[in-house]
Amino acid sequence: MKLYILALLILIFQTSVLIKYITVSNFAPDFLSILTILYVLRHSTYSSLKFGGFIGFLQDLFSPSFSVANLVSKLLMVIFTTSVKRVIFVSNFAVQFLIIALLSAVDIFLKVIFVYFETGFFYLSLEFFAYIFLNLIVFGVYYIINEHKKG
Amino acid sequence: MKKRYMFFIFLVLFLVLLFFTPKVKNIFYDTLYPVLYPLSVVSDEFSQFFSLLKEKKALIEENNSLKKNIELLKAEIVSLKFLELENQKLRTLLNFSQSLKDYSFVSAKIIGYSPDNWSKVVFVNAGKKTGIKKGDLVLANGKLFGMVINVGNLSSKILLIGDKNFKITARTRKTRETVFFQGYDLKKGILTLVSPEQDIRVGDIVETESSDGSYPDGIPIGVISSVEYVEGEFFKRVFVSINLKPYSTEYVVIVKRKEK
Repeated sequence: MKLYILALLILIFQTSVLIKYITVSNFAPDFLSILTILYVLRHSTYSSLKFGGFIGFLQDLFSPSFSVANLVSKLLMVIFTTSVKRVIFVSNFAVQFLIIALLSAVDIFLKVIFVYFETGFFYLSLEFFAYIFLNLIVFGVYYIINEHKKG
Repeated sequence: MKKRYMFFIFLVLFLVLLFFTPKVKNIFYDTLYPVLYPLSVVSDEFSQFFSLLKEKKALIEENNSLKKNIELLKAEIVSLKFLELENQKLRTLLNFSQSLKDYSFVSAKIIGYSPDNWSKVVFVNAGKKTGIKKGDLVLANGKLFGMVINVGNLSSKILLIGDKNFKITARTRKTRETVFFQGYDLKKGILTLVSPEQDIRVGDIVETESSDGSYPDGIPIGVISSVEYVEGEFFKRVFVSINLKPYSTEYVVIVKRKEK
């Protein structure tokens, strides 16, 4: 329950004007994606699906049209991370770092596909790297803080 | 286990169907308003405090120059009033419709942004109570910024012109060609269905054009940055530079139609 409240608080932060202080090239990091991945690494598949669905649903409430892009993207994130978790030792920093980078890229690609079906525009830009970069920075900061706590 | 998954899928489908109606969305935005608005105020106070510390000297100089500018603008207002009267007389003579007289302007503060990077929307602190309606146009820095798509009691959601779902009828200022503008990203938009015969020139300004008077004509949208045409294709590919900066925009003006 605590994590659900944390997700709500992060959503409010991500929606508020405070987010403008950490944007790069008009892109803001998606803390909720990182939270979802970290949640999956520590919880069961069923519980992660619930959590990912909840976050995706909340983000989709803000979308301009009837869209389930975030819901689908977050559920796929859960499925992908769960399958990776089964075969690789994921508590390693490098593996987690790669998962975040890869899933951020998958997130972009999925939404590009959704936009294509909605509007007919297939749009990929180099600026999307700013989004992956920001997500990795946020994850790095979280990891350092977490390690410091443990130490 | 299978039953639990099925239950979960049905629950998600039910919530999607129930909660994605505009009315339910509006209630959600209004619930967030008491949180988003104070946060925007706190953010302003902090940024003002730090900028005061940093730029005290520069502020004094800026203040002095602004005072001078105010005086200049006051003088300009006097001459503009004279021109307005003259304009009114000429309009009456020409029997010209004064389209902007049918609209009023409401200023609003941006209090929130989209929580993902894919939908280009902002939230402002003006809603039904200030008379805003769905479809009203929004301006910032003297240019078209977006359109109201959801109206709550206290807040509204604005779809930016850089969003791919944003579409509006427009025209080119010099050649008066009617075009359809669609958002592409925060830097550029695209003109769709431009036939090869249409006179579209790089550098021309694209502005709003309303066929039913639901919004005013002549609001600048952007400048045509490139025109591409491949022989044999049905339409030209025209990009419009818009250079939208939602994160550095604090206030917007909403153009609302006056009630008759």
